[in-house]
Amino acid sequence: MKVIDFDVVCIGGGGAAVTAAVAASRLCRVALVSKEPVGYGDTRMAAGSMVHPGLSEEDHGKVFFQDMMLAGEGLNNPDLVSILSEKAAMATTVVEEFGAIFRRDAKGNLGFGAATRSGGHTFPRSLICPPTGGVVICHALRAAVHRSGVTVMEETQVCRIMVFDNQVRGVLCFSLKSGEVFIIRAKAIILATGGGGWLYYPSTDCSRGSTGDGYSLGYQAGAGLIDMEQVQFVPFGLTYPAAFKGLFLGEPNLAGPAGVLKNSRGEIILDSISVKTRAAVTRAMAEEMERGGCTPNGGLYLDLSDNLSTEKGRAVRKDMVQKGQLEILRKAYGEKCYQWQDLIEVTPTAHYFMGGIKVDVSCMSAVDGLFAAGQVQGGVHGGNRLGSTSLAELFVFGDIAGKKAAEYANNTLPGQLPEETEDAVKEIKVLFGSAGDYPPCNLIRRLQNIMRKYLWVLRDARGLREALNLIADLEDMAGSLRISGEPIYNAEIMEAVELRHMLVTARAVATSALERDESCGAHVRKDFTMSEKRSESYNVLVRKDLNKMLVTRVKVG
Amino acid sequence: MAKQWIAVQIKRGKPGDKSFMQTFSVPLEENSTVLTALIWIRENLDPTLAFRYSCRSKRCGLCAVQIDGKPVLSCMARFKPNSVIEPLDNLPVVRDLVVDREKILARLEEYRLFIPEGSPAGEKFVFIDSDPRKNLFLCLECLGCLTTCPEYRYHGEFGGPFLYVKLAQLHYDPRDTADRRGQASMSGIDRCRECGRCYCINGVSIYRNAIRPLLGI
Repeated sequence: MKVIDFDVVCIGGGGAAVTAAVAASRLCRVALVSKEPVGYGDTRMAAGSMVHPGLSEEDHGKVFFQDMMLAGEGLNNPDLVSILSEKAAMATTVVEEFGAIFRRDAKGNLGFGAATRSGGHTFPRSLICPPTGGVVICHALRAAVHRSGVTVMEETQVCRIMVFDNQVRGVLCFSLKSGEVFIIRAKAIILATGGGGWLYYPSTDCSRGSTGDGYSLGYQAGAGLIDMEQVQFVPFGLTYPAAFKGLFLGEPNLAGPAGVLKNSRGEIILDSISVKTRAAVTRAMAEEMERGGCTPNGGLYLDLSDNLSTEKGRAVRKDMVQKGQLEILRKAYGEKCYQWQDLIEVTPTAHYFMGGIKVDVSCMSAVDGLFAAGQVQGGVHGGNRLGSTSLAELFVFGDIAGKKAAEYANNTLPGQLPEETEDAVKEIKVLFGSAGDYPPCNLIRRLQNIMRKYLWVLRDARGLREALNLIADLEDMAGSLRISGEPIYNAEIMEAVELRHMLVTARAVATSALERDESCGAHVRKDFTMSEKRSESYNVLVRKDLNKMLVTRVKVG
Repeated sequence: MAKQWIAVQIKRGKPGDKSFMQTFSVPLEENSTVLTALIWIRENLDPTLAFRYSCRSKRCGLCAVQIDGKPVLSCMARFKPNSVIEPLDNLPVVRDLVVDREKILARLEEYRLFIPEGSPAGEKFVFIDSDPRKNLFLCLECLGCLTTCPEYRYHGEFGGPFLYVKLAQLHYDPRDTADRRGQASMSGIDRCRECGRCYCINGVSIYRNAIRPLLGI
């Protein structure tokens, strides 16, 4: 059994992971372990608009705090929101220090004139990184990692966190490139693994790596997960061709001043779209689709043609064309849709998990030495995340998690690996050439079908119980995998590990969704209307108790 | 209507073994792009086929392969009959269509492709973005340009177009302090002077916006 030693292991390859690793590396020895190359994942997918409060005098931290709390419908942890609202402006500095440059105003300054206003924000405070947003930021992430001297292990997957006496001791890794299975012993571990959008593939605009690994790793190590039922969908994703299904087309503001949504019979089901939130538009769409108003490709029609007859409408389109936002529309649906002259078929698409690992203000979970930052962390956004906030949280909480993990590691003596470590290594090694019944990708597709059917925007108790039964069947089947013995770049091994992580994450989402017997935030129960919502807010917490998933309601925070 | 099946040839193998071409038959109608065809083959015919992808939408660049001798992003390339799909030419292969990005990029570390630590742009920093710099950031780091360059060999001394795009990005950054022209010169950019045959599948004008400014012409 190969064992190597570091002080801190940071898991992930996006903005939170790189920021945490760079911050920690100033104080101790850090390994950055990423199952994709560093600088990929959903940070790269981001359009690149990042919140920067305080660009005008009225926009002090408190206004942004209130905007976030209002959007979150009482589920956010005020202490975490407070940290984000105080430090969000610092995120721009971190990213620029890594090497990117945000858009300046006409005079060349980073000021009010360079910002746009996203839905739910009281003031314009979203800055962009032209021309490609997340891609530019990710160029900078790679530069920052090289500059820092962090040890990078790319295309290396973490299968399990080793814990002894409720304290982290190391991680079990699998290298895709070499097929090697090994242990990194560490005193602190940072989860910065992103979200779980891929559980809804193909109805997601997230990248293929977002398989919920961090929720599962944290849960199995003993951390609590809160509000996992809160999955954010953005309203406008593509419905066809199959290759592009789910890809991001736009926010509510895509509708412009005059755009409307129509059902298959041509009846208008929603107008004034651009001023509504992601959650409101998504819910209206899901309800109409449930009533049978679906178009041939399983969506609704977005009719933007009335925009063409007003100056303001034409200006909105022109702006989007200039930003390159409509390119994917042209590629998928052709010229007439691109010109907004034809009906555009759209469907909600899974975008972001607002729930996640329950952490304190140091980003530490209930397990000693286990930290979480970024999308995998819960509590910041509650029931609804405002646009432009997820990029900022990566750099704010990534920095905190990195510093606190390094401090923790420097004040902790190295401990022994738990007894079961050797068995855990074997458990991965026997996957090579295992002669069971099911290829892992086959079970992953079945799980994604369950998620899209029962854990879509609208849920009810019957469907959720059915989902839990079906997930249990898949958990059994996952014990009988069929995988080749190829040692080099065996993606089936990676999928086998992802399948386990996805099953845990799916169970957490379904269990939490069943527990929250009310419609709240992004979680809409068909069997409970919005007016039945309880006056007192709570977080739904799931954690591991022996081998069972325990669910409870806890005080918000 | 009967399904239309079309043939595709894929170059397979790993270092040490002799590479070979394998033909697969794939239904056309559900597979409009090369990427979905590759995924279909993995899920229905051969789970050991190795290739990379992540975003499905022209942002990550990880799915770059070569089709009929030209670099493409497989997520955007239309799936056509009798395509020949190969890993990016001239680059070290891990297995099948997966090239060894780590090995290629590690060779660029000596160029210190970053701005000095502690130089944030800051709120007061005046900066008007130039068109060449904006164009250079269309780069997806897919490495496709390396296969279009007649001079580049990954184990050779010559830097190659990907390095020149990265050096030029920094050359246009007012915070950068290193001599990027000097670095380009040391890595043999002079060979590019009369060439200009490299190109980018995402629209970076490599010769105009990277090579010429680094050569000072």
